[in-house]
Amino acid sequence: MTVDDNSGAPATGLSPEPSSALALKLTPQRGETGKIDEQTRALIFEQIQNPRLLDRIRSQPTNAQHSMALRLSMVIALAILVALRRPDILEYSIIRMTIAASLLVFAGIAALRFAQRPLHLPEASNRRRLATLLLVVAAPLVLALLPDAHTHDFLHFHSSKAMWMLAGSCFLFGIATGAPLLVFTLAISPTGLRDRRKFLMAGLSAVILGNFTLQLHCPITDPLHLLLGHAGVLLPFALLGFMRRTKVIR
Amino acid sequence: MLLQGLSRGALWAFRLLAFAATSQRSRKELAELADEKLFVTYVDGDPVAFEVLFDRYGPAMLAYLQRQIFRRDEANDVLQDIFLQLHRCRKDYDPSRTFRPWLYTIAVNILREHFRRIGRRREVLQDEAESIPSTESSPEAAATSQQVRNAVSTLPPDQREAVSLHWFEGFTFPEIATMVGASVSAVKVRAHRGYRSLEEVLA
Repeated sequence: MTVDDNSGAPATGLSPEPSSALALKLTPQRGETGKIDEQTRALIFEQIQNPRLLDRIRSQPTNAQHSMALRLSMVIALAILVALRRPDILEYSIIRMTIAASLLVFAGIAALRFAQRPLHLPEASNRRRLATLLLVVAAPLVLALLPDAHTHDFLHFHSSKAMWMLAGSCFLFGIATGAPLLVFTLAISPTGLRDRRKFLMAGLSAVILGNFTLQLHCPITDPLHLLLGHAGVLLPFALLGFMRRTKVIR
Repeated sequence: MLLQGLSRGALWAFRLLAFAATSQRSRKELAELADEKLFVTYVDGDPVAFEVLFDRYGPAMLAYLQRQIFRRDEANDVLQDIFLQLHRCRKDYDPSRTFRPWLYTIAVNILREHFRRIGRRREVLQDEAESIPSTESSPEAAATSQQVRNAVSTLPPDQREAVSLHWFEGFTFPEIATMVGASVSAVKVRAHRGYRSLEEVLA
């Protein structure tokens, strides 16, 4: 009888218990205990009794950690809105801005929740992980490919050099505004850089924050510019994730 | 002057003895508490409660790890990590939940992450299964124990996880399903396959 492990199909006819012969062989190992050496014990209690500042933050409840990451994102977004907001913000389509902001906030929170998933909860299913990944990768791309909402004459590129320069500066702006969130999320994560999946999601939440700040800052609505300069912020973080996966970064 | 010094010394000695007696008594009292109350006591700020919990679960947890990790130093590292994360997660603990599955969920997650990290090295490590000495008293029992350990090591990770948690740790299938984030029937299928494979290997 073949049953798919992940299908969740009822296991009718299967015996999830060992046969009596196997049970006889396995029984002596039941209730077996290991011998913990003094050094291991001392190391555990030393780390617990002498926490560093980061350890104190890592010991905060998960909700408090989510809240800290969200507050950091809001502070960065607010600073951009106050000091470096786009010149056409009052003329820009409110519907387009609402759609963009909602999509990015939704994707960002999904990625952040994944990156900060506590260890006392079971791992999220592959389906859920894939859905989050698709949402976070698709959000900046969809926003780049939406029809232009508002284009002034001065936003048309007269040369490819100007296009590349502006795309490059937006690209760097997105990285610079997203990176603090990545650093903060990794710093307060209980497993830090070790868990590759959480590392990737922390990187993607930084991409989303970078795109959100660009949405507030950059008045250019040319799809090519949005693809290269805004959605392109995905690339360095994807490269970091790839390097982490292939163990270039340990 | 000398008398004054002696009386001061006696007073300190008395205080020290009284402190030792109090902490001893409190440790004894703590040892009688249920896991959940003990952990809540720790969350409320009594560090001795964590030591009692560690003494209660550390050795069993190490045996659980040694059935899946075949190098003593790595098993010790993972054990350290599990109890450190237990400490870090303490403020998330809901006292209405049973403590033991909660602790083992942390262990399962850290173990999975450990295996993802070592990745391809695992095949090599399986050859080093001899490196952990068995605690069995007789040589026959030690040999059987090693044989079972080697057989368990041949199982795919999800089957090994289900068999270890079900048979060796004594969790029910619904508990395991909650801990590993799968359906009860999926966990039963993994255990079924694991037990059939073990029967073949140990036949």
